Amino acid sequence: MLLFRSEEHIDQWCAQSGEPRGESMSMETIWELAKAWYHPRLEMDFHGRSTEQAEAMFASVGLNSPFWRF
Amino acid sequence: MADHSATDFDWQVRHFIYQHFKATGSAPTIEQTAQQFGVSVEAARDSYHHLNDAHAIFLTPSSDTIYMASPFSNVPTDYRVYANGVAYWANCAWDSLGIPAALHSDAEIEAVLPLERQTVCYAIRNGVLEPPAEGVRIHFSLPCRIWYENLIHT
Repeated sequence: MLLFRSEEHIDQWCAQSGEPRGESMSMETIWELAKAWYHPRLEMDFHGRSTEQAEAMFASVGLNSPFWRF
Repeated sequence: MADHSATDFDWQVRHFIYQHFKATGSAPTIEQTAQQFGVSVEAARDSYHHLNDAHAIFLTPSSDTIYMASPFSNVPTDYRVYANGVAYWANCAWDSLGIPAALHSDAEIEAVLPLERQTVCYAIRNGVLEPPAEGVRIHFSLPCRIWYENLIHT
């Protein structure tokens, strides 16, 4: 997951690197996702999460296209 | 994340690995882990590989060295995160925000943009994101069903 100045820069990077053009979003969206995704990460009883839980987290920040489903 | 072969001891080792990252910005060696738990180096090595198989951590291929334990990277990357007096490497843009989220702390972040190799700065202050002044977008190249089980490529 990489950082770019603009959608045009993403297009340029994908053309240069050969990486597929996926989806992009604001840093604000990823901060909201990061807070939910990583909040329990250092706890002793964190053993990961199911794909259903992951999909629910993505959807909670507005990431609900097929790109964000298993 | 699939729990293929991890035991209760393995999850205790995982916890130690993450606490070591939090305190130092780097992963413990199998020797350090063996000393922490009073076990043999072989037992620590086995635990690292159990956790790798479970995708709880990721080892550098053909080694016993931790490559990453998300959101922390054990190798230098384009994402440098400063929090609580410790300097961390994040695996990617998402993980650069994941580190303050996991630490429950504020952070100052320096990221190198891949296209022009210029550095942008952003921060979490009082729990609020202060994005780069220039404006940025975060790009996920692959859909989640591809990278979720193989985080080493994200």
